[in-house]
Amino acid sequence: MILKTLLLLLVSVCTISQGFAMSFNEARHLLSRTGFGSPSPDEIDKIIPLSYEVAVDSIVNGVLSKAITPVPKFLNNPSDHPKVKHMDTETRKSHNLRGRKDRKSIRFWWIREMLNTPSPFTERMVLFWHNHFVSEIAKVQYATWSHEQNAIFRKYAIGDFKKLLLDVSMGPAMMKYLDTSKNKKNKPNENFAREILELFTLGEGHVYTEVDIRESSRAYTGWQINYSTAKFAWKDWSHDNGVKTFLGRKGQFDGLDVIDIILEQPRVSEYLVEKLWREFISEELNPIEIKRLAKIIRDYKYNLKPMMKALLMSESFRDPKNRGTLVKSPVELTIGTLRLLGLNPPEIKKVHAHQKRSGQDIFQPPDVKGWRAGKAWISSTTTLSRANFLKAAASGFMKYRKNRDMNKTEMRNPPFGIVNPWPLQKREVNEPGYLKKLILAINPVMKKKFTGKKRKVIKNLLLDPAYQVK
Amino acid sequence: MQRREFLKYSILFPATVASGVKLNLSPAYASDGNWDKTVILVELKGGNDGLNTVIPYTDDLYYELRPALGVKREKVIQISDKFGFNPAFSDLMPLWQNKQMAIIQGVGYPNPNLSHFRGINIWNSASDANVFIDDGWITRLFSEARPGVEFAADGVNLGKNSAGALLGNKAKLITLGTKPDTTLKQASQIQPGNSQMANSALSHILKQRRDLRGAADNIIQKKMKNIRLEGIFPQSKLGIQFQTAARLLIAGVKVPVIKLTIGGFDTHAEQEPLHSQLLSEVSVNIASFAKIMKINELWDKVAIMSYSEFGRRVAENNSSGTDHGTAAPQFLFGGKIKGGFYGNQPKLSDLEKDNLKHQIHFREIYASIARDWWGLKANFIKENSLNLFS
Repeated sequence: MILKTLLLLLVSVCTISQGFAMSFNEARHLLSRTGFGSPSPDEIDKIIPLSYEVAVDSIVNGVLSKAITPVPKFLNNPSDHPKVKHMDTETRKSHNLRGRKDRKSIRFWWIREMLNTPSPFTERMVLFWHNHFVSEIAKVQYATWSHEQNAIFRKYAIGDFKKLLLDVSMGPAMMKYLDTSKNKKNKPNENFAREILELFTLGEGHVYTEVDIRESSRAYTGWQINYSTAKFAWKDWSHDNGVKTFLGRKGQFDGLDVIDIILEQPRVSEYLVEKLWREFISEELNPIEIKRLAKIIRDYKYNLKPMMKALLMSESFRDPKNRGTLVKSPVELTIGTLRLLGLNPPEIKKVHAHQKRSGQDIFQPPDVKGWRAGKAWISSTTTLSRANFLKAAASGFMKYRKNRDMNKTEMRNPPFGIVNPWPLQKREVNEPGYLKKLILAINPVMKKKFTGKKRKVIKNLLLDPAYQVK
Repeated sequence: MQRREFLKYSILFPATVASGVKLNLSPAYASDGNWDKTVILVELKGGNDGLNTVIPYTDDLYYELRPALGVKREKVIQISDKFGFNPAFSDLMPLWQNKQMAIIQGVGYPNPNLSHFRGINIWNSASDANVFIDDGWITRLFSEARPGVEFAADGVNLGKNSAGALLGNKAKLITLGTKPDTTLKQASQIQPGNSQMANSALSHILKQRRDLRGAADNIIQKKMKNIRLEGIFPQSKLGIQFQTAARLLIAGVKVPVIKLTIGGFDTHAEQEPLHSQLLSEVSVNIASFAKIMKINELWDKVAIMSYSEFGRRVAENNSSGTDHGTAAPQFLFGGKIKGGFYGNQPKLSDLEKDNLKHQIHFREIYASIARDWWGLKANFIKENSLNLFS
């Protein structure tokens, strides 16, 4: 009895010291923004008893460093790329065919990971880095290389940015994509030197000049890919050992020296926070807050985790005015909807096809700057493809039949699988209005039926324009 | 017989046009802004290598700086005593000879930016190199005069890429993908929706729904479905875009701008044969488009402008490719275009940081389109018109 009282006291002290439990809307917003835009009832139930800070901790600490989905087959079947030159036509044909298959299967593999991961935030960060350190698999060519890059994004999801930058830059995927190994002494190729400044670290128009690009491209000479090991290789003979002037400094710099100099610029941390702000909070930047968060990155020497927690704890992130103001990306719309409804799509390729049609073909961003995101997701074309996806997903519960004729139903084949809508409907029965607050971040636009236990209610909510924002 | 119907038939019986049936083609000038005249924008995405497109085949320096990539003198199609087309441009010869193709040499702008995105932003918005403007230059023109309600949209985007010159919320846009008819049918089923409370993201979403529905209803009414044009264009990405553009215009859909895109011009490594293939794709399509427009007596009402964010470095790199450069030739086509050369080729011996110095500001082309073609003032363009139209 005493023990029980003590325990109760302890629990209540803890609760007080960590603040109060969250409101439904706050829990939903946190999960929606750190996940795929539409958290499931289970996910919300799990964090709602926690204080806001404990919930943020659980999300930030729950980040995985490795994927849970089994490694795609092609990795056990390493590509024989070094020998391509010596292949006869037939061998080369089958080699190319396998290359194409691998490039598809890696996309399906990542979609599976996003559908099944216990930490949606991890995959959101992987996707964020994919759109920050852009590479197009069509140019990288080898799925193994793109997979390796994808694993680096996960390994450092909210970890050490410097290591992330180096591992990505010196990985074969990025080196192939930005022609790094074609950058040689006396014949510089500026592609990588430009993009590391413009896209990875400082942002276009900040700190550096064209001269810095030219000079630093000389420093990166000597960086090569060893094709048989698919690893970085240093080639002394192709390195320009001369003196370079870079961002006001002078020396016989090599690539690593140059990257050190870049990372000394406070602008790097600001650039990163600006991008994360747009990704997680709002398209309207708050310069004072951005400076504050950027300083946390510098204080922790490019370990991003403390800043990430501070960002999720920030007033701006929590401000109800910012709810429903960001457009869901095609990946968020598809993965989020499938996770929300508990749909298990029989063919992942159909999920991929919908994402691609809506403008987001993972592993294949449109160009080196990546997807433009935000409002740019919504054009007249994608307005249609997004609606088509939602209709198809909704058919998964609209066509569900309990206990009878399941065979017939299956024959009608809703493209993303069949699901019993009753668990969702039951919540609505117990708490009228539940579905509306679960599915939408803001009030619906259309004049339709949004309460009640009819299946049509769920469909109406999904097809309302308000479902497009998070 | 309605004019549109006649033109539809004329695809089947082109001879009737040739036999001299007179049509009432007197242009219906809008009070301000003659939006009945269409501009077809063709973006060559990635930075087209101008020096290997219009080749200074008498310049030894060209061959010196491009030992591997230089197009051999005997392969060049000579169009003047100094310049020749890349052989992949052969299909454009009839247009060039008929003076319906303008070559504007050395197009660029001061303080050129060598980044793809910033480069194309400058071209799209017509801003100075150090000024950032979100709206496209044609979108900016709409604030002077808007196309009327009879127009399906301000612009049709046919590629998968950005709307470019039509960027910005002030332009009403419809995108028709690779299956325009299916897209139109689905679009006509969208319920637009309205809300006074909408935030800017939601407002954008609702506006896209309204514009989409309005444009789709308009185009469906014009029965574009019945105009097929099969077997005229290659069924490539660009070919399908040109086919759709032609179908829209022949159906009589009113739209001031149609934007097309072909990617792949960022040839840092192993430039050949890729670059030649791209040029050939462009030239075959423009030639076919001109042909079908002429048959339908629309060639005088369209102007095609091709453009690219920059040209490429004069000297080839060590990977049999070329890095980002600056000035390059750009092209216009149309029945009312005054064909020939404009401006001078920048000197290969007088470079700035290994790059060509521009001779003509790209805004001089825009000025000509805005003022001479559409009859606008275009006050935000400081440059004089190049006078490209007859």
